[in-house]
Amino acid sequence: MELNKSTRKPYVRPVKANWWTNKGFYIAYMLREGTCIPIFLFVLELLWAYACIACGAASKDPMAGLQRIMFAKSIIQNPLVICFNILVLVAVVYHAITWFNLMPKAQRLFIGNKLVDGKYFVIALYAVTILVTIFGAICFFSDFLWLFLK
Amino acid sequence: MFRKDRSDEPIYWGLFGAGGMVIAIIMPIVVLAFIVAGFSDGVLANIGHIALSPLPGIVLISCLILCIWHCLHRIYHGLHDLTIHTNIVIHLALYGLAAFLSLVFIVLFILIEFNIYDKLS
Amino acid sequence: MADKMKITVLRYRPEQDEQPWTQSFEVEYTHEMSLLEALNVIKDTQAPELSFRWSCRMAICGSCGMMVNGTPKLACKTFLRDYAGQEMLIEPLANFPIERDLVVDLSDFIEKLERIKPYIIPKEDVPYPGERREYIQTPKQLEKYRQFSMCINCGICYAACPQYKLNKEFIGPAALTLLYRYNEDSRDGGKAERMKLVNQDSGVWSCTFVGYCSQVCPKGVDPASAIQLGKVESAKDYLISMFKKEQ
Repeated sequence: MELNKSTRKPYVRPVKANWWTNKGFYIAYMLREGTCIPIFLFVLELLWAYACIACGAASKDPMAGLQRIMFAKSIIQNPLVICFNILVLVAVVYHAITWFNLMPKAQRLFIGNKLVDGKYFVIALYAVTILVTIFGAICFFSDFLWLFLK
Repeated sequence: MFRKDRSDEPIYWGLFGAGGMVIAIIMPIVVLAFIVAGFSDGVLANIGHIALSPLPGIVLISCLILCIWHCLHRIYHGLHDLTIHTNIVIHLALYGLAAFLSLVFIVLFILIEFNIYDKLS
Repeated sequence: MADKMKITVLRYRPEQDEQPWTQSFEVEYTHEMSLLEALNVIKDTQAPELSFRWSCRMAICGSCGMMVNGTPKLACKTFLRDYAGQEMLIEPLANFPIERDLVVDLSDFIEKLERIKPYIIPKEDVPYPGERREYIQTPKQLEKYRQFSMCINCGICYAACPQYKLNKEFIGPAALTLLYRYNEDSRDGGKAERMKLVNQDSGVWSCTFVGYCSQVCPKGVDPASAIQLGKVESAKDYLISMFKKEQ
């Protein structure tokens, strides 16, 4: 036997498509990335409804136009679509939480010689979201809000 | 495009980042509004009224276009995560789809706001 | 006093094994016993040919990185008491080729470290300021890179990184963090040179911000942050390059 012969034979472990399934951190990451699928489908749903309304509103024949607009309504008020939209809301909220929590890592701010604590960024982002949500609620639900004011 | 010395990711990353911000800050109330609109004709009419008026319409459509770029960017990298290694074909298909859908939104917006149908007739 | 721990080790002997296999050991342990000490006990009393790397025993040399129940850790900084009532599965650092038993081949990581030039490249036009023989740095200038300078090159962040797992071209967390650390150093003049590496697909743009590297770093470095900040720098560089012709 040759004593000076190298027996090196590095073993490379195979990479499987399910590498992320055995660790909570990786599952949370894949869920975070996966939120894009329901959100994308939601945008397509809005595109579909928008196209119906666009064609309906612009139609020469008022009856045909109304039909198209009613079709948009039938999409939004379909029970399956409502259930899906609730799933989308969950995905959007999960996206928002993960997005805000990671934001301080991508942005640093120095005041004087000191690095500003990342948690202030997160708080600011939540505050902006709450303001936007209140503003949006006033716009979208103004009928309800009138009822409450009366 | 597809240079080895410098990645074009900054473009897609920029759109992805803007879309991510929009989804986190604006989309919660938009999705909530559509859920409520599923039960209430009044809210649906309100949304339609807002979406069809010019200025809020532009804002809403810009947001949705950014969402599209965000989602397709994540799908692009997600495929790689699932060991489906991305290539130029997948790249063109996904970002091409994003560009196409953005264009559809813009065309629809123009059709509505400028009453193109009426002018054609 | 002396509790027992079942430690299962992934073994691989290149001269006789086709594939790695597992071997279990029982070790009596005290409150203070680290995993590194336990492995040394196994080597001394049960399996003299068991191979693993170690040196300082105090989380500064970065030699003893290994997977403990699927999580990359320094063996010297991992204590058996924290696994009381469980079993421990010890594997070589993930994402690197296994050389023998718990020893991995880190040469890819070392090559990337060299590639990013992890040292201060002096600015050509600023030799030494005046009569002084040292550079002056303000607390703020120090603070800009201090957090990213604590790396001990243990490779644990590479074992935690799915993007490195999926694509070995990726420069990876530790090297990109050190790259950012030198780019941000006020004494350094090598930023333009290093940005060429950052801007590539194999640079910061292979990262999808999983963030696990920052979670597992035994020295509390935040590679995920350095890489995202690097993306911002690279995006700025991209915009500038659109208006300015590159040399």
